[in-house]
Amino acid sequence: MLLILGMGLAIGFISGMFGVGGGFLLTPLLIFIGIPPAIAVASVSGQIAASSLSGTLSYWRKNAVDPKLVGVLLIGSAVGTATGVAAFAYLRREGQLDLFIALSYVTLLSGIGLLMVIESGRAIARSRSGEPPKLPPARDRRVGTGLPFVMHFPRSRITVSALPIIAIGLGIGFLGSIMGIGGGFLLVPALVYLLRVSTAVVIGTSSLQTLVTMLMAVVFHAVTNGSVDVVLALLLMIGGVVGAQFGARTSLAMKGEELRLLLGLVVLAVGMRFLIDLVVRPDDPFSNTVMEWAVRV
Amino acid sequence: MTRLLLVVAALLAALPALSPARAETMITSLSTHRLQITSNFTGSEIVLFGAIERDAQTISRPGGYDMAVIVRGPRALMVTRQKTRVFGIWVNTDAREFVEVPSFYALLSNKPAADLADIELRARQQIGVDSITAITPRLGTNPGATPTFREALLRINRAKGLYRENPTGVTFLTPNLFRANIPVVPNTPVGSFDVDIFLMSGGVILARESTNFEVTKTGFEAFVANAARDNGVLYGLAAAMLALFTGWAASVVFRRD
Repeated sequence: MLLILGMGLAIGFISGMFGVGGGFLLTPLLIFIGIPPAIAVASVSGQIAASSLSGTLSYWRKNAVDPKLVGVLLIGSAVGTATGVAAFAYLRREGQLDLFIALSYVTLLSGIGLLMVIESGRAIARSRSGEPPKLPPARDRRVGTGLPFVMHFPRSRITVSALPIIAIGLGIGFLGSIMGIGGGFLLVPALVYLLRVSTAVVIGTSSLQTLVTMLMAVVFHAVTNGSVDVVLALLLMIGGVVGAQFGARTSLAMKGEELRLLLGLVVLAVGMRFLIDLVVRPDDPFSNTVMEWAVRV
Repeated sequence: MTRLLLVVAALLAALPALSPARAETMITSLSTHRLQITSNFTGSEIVLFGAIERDAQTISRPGGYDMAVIVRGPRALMVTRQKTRVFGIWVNTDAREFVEVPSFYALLSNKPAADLADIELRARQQIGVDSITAITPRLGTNPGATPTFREALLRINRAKGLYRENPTGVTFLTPNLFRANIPVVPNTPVGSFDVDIFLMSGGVILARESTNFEVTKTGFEAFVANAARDNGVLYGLAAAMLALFTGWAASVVFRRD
């Protein structure tokens, strides 16, 4: 119990420090200490919802949220989350859930981790050599206007077709509910690089979207899989929100590139750990699972 | 302990009152029929006391009496899966479903299962871990491998302490009075446990008694577990509200602007 509270603290610290949700580190850690992946994924959703609410509130006060964009994203992520939870239940029945979660993490974490390490390594090298940092490219704020359902989002200062937004929401909702991640670390780059959303509102918008998606995920998981452990979730929430405050303060004292390099290395290490578990011969190739009780107890 | 003595006294007092019979009869009593466990449960024991009743007509048993006490937890559908290496990673590739297998099984006896009776009787009465009935409705792609899965099922549950045999689990206090300590393991399933008591001699069952006890969760964990199972929607909404509340509380407590 103290271990879990401590882990919540540590992950909260990391999430506050790097400005990420932390689900993609918290879920793996819970799995590594022996909590069944199904329980870990569903319970972490609650923790992510809690931490993204405190984020959303502070961005909302600064007027840095685009509710219209969130609304369109949610059309996709509601469907994505429901599909994700259904797929989760199916994979669990077939005994392939653990494998799917592990493979998804290996792919996602090593990909993202590698990109972060390379990008931040370059940035560090650039600042050492005294070059000025690259300016962000000039924005073309009209994206995919050839597609139908073109909409204007004044807050985000973009005019874009609703279809790519819904597609992004769909993907994030699906991955989030299966892997127990908020998806902020996927959503933010997608909003910035694909939709060219104004950087002023991107984090707040992502927080609100994560909040609503994870709330849906908690309810869906509870109904479909009965795999939400509310005690575990509460411990994680408390640890997470407290840790995040200290993390945010620490991050002010560190350089952005170094922070990203550090996070990239952590992410890579977690991805490798999943890979090792998949490749190493298990102690016992057989395993037992209780599927259902003959009599309701 | 006083409770146990009372049980024994009651049993002894009941002995002469019984109607005369040719074969032996048994009177048994459990120290409790309801065990409530909390989250920090580290295992416990339920004591079974029994008396063997014989009268003047009962023939003598030169080999003495044997006792086999079988405890079975609630039955479940269990799946045993096998991992094999596919493209370098270990994947569950084959599985067998076993229907109505006990989630807990203990054989307590006064000698090893093999010495109690021949293999046919043991299989019929499921005496001993190796005699537990585990039926597979679907044989999958290679039916020949099913015995391997059955062995794995038993082996894994044995290793978890869920299937166990104790050849010294029954103690005869006098030739006609016995006692057995039924273990309740820390990772015990919850639900109704059946206890079957066999009085045997020379590989033959002389008498049989059945009783049961219940293991239930209590306290906050029980409340949460029941809510999660019976009211999934409400439980999910409650979890969501909890998340909202914690997040809001944090933003109030740590507000910096």
